[in-house]
Amino acid sequence: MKKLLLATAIAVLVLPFPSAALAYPAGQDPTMAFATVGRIVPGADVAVQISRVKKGCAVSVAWVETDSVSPVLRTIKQTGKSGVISIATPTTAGTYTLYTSISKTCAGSNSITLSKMVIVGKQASIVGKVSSPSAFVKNNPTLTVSGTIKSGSIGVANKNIIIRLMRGGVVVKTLTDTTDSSGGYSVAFAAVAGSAGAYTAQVELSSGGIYGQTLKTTAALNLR
Amino acid sequence: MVALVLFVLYIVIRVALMVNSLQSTISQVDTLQNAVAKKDLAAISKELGKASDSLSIADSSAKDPLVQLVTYLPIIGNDIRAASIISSDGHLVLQSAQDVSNTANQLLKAGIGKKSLTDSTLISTFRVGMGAMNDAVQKLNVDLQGIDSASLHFGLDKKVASAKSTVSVLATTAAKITPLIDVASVVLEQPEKKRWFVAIQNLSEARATGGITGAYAILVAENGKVKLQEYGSDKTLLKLGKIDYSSYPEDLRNLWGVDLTDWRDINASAHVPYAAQLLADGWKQLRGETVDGVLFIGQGAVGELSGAVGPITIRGVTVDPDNVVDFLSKDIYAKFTDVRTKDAVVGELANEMFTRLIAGKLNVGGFLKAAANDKTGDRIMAWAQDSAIQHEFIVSKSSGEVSEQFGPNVLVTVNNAGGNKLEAYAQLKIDYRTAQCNVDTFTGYQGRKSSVAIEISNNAPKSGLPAYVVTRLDRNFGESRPKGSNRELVTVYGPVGSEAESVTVNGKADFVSTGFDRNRPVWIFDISLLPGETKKLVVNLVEPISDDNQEKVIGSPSVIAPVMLNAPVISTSTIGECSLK
Repeated sequence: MKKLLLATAIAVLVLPFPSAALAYPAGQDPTMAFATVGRIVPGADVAVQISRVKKGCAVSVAWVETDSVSPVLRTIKQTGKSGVISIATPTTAGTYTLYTSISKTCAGSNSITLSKMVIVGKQASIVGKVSSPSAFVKNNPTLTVSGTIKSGSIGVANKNIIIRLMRGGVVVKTLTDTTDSSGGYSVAFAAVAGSAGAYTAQVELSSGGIYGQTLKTTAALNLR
Repeated sequence: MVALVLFVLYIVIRVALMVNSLQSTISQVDTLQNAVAKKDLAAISKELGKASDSLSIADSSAKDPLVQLVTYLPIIGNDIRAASIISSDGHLVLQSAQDVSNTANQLLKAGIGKKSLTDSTLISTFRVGMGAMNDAVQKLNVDLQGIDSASLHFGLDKKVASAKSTVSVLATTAAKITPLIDVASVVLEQPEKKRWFVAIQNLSEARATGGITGAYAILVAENGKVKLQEYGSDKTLLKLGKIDYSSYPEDLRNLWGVDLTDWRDINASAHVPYAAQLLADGWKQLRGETVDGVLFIGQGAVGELSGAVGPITIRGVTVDPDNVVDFLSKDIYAKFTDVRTKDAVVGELANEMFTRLIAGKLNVGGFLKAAANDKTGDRIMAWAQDSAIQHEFIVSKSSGEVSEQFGPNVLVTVNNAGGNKLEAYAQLKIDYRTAQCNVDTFTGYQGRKSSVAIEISNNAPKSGLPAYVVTRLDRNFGESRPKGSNRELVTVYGPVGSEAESVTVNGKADFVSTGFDRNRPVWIFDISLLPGETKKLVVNLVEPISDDNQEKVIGSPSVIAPVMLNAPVISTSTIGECSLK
């Protein structure tokens, strides 16, 4: 419920005033800047600072996608800066949005919502291919989607993955597999009568404690 | 034994032919210089042809595998190698120069700029020729610089040292003029009527594409004939009203805190097509005219054009190639303290310059001299609505498109956040180095460590500058702001897929705004600089050596320098290639 309220608050605040407070020269608006900028381990703190806000104003930073981490509140100093705000990241890897809302009085012109995307944990790289780019349905072929999931030089081992066969952007079949010790995967499926069309296969590694959600769409498969 | 004698004799004859041919070419070049002094293009083409023919014998000898073998001999090997480089590279330069000279002569005879051309292929032939000549000159320069003059004999040491110096100037000049000529040629060679918005940037107030649009000109070109439709200052543009920026990428709209409805603020991203599209959109929305393309030029390009059109006197001030850059970036504010008068002077200067350019009263020698003497970091950039024309700008590296491809390359830009003209006194040094291998990125790639270090100096004096130059229009949060102090947004565009381990200012961890532009992570330093102050900004990176297909990323580290009034000093280094595991 809280997530929904926060998302709604952002939508309400952001959409009507995308740049209403902006003015020449550049950089007049409040900013949200980071000291911890990358390579963030799930659960670790990130350090941010809110700047160019009227002194004495209270600012609060929070994650949009989760309420498992409490918002952090600070009072703006005479310099227009919040000082260092440390906030813990979610414990599940993925892409999150850190945000703060600043009222019209505190922002100096119109109210403004600042939000920044933060990547927590590692991402994986998926390579996938279909055993044959085309086949005749009348021959009842068995086709394979296979590839490797790695994060850098390390194979993403023993992870459950989902493979979706899609025709015209619609999922027509969902398959699952578990990666081997090198991050390899391979699933077979049979083309049946009436399944002619142009397909792609989407491979998904779900979010976990180390890796964020990763999707990869393979080259097209044409069933005739 | 006889075979050995014949073998040695053959090599001696080939080397002698090469030396003789080189000497003959040197005398041809003397005659060529006379033709250049007389500005006789027909004679220049003829003499270039003779020199090229003469050098072709040396070139043929230089390419002989047996002569190449001799370059490995001790003592005289370096001499033969030097002669071989001059023969082969020099032949290419002379050949391409002759092609360019021939076409230029035909274009002048056809009344380029003033009349519609009967042969529409002439301009593109000229453009391609210029590109080939520039490539040949740059190759000659790189190869010549690789020769150790001190190791040469027979008087070659002094000749090669002298050639190095001459060719270095030639290479600088060619590198400066080629993009300008490329873009001008593309504009002129369009058979259909096209309208071009020329944004004349003031590099004294930095933007990612160079500077704030201080003035503009609208050119209409068709099949080699050009008309100046109108010109004006930024005040004219502001009076038109606010731009509807709905075509602009949503996720970039707030990244630099700029007002995209404001004509002065549209070029905060390094990706030139974004700013160009906004200018074209604004002109269409507020003036009802379609703009087919946009050209961005700053004081450096204006200085080169000044060399081509000669001195111009406006309101008692004579502006020539020697003073135009300083005049437009510094002196104009002291001489014309009233802003309206200052804007009018800029507009009148632009008008006179374009009128003369279009009239075809051009001084080629003056143009080349101005280009050779251009110390700015300016470069022309161009964009066209038509994808085929845009492709030409991409090929000539004038499009200012930020690449979305993997590779060890970074960009740095500066956006003025003080609302002043103090980048006339800013100086940047940028160092990009790739280092330790076998470090995976969190973004999923095999990677390596690297760093981008920027030293930014504000060399403005503490007093004596006009109020318009040193003004601070940004909100004050109680910090000390002596005259000459400035605020800059310095943006680092990292390689695609890279991530920052840390960012520092003067060695201490600091805060940066983050985001993505053109698939690249960006880090924006918001810094204040007192007059005379230098700050060192560093982004420590882990960057990919593999791509989305888990294949190796290749290339040497490179930096696309910001377009600035004072040319940034760029350095790159690497410990070597990293291998994939």
